[in-house]
Amino acid sequence: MTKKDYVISNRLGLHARPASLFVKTTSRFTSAVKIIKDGQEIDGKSIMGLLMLAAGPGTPLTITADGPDEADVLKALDDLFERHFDDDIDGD
Amino acid sequence: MALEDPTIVLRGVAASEGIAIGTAFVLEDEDVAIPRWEVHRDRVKSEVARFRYALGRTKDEMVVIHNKALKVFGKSHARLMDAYLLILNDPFLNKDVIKIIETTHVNAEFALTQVIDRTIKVMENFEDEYFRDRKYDILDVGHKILRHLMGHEKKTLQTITDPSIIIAHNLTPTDTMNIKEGVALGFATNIGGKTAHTALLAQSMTIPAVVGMR
Repeated sequence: MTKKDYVISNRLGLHARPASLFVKTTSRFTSAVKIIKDGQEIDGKSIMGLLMLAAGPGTPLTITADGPDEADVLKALDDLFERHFDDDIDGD
Repeated sequence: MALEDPTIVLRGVAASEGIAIGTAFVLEDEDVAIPRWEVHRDRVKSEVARFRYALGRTKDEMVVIHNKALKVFGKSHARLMDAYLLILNDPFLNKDVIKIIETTHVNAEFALTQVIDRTIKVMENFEDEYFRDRKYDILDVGHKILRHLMGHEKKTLQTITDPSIIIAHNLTPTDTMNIKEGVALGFATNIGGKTAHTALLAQSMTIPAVVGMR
């Protein structure tokens, strides 16, 4: 299992569009992905779970990936966080 | 003797500013009573299949709306339909609902409602208005699946042909995307906040919308 800490860096937090991007990214991989926020753990391939986190900007998250492509999942997520979920490109 | 003024004034939140004068089209509210029945052990498999079939039909419907949204409203609104399609593929619906049917032997409508209600309860308590309003998206998707399960066909806004002000208890984003171009002069609803997608859509269509009327 691979584990990494992130901070939500985009303007509006994990709202519908970034949450969609997140789930689309994690769903490309076979590894199980979990997101932990304040001890609450949700399935990283569930958009309903992500929206239920109500993760606004600045929220710290721990993400774990478990499976054959776990390193690749986190690499893809690194990229997504670095791009701030393309939040400022053309709004929501 | 003067007649009493028949005017009713309703006030709400200006979700999209402007003035509209026109004929009202009142969308009747459809409050669906959720049936509950016990599913015999031998019928559990076919009840799960019935649920999966309804999910599939809802996805087909959503793909059509997605393509239409893309054409009429552009990429940013079509993205919402993208999120809806992801909700339809969500483990909460594809795993949890099925698990409830299998373990408690209840019908699909009831199992689905339990999962949706649980989600909504969490979302209702959010302080952030944006995240709180996402419960309408979940409810919208839930109602769509229910309609396919129960065989209800909703009178859609597609039937409007004359320019009208659309008045409803609630307008879901898929409702509004079903409206023909140029037909909506404005929206007025009881439900909804400033960041609900219907409000955002009205803003992008530059037609006035009042939400949260009382």
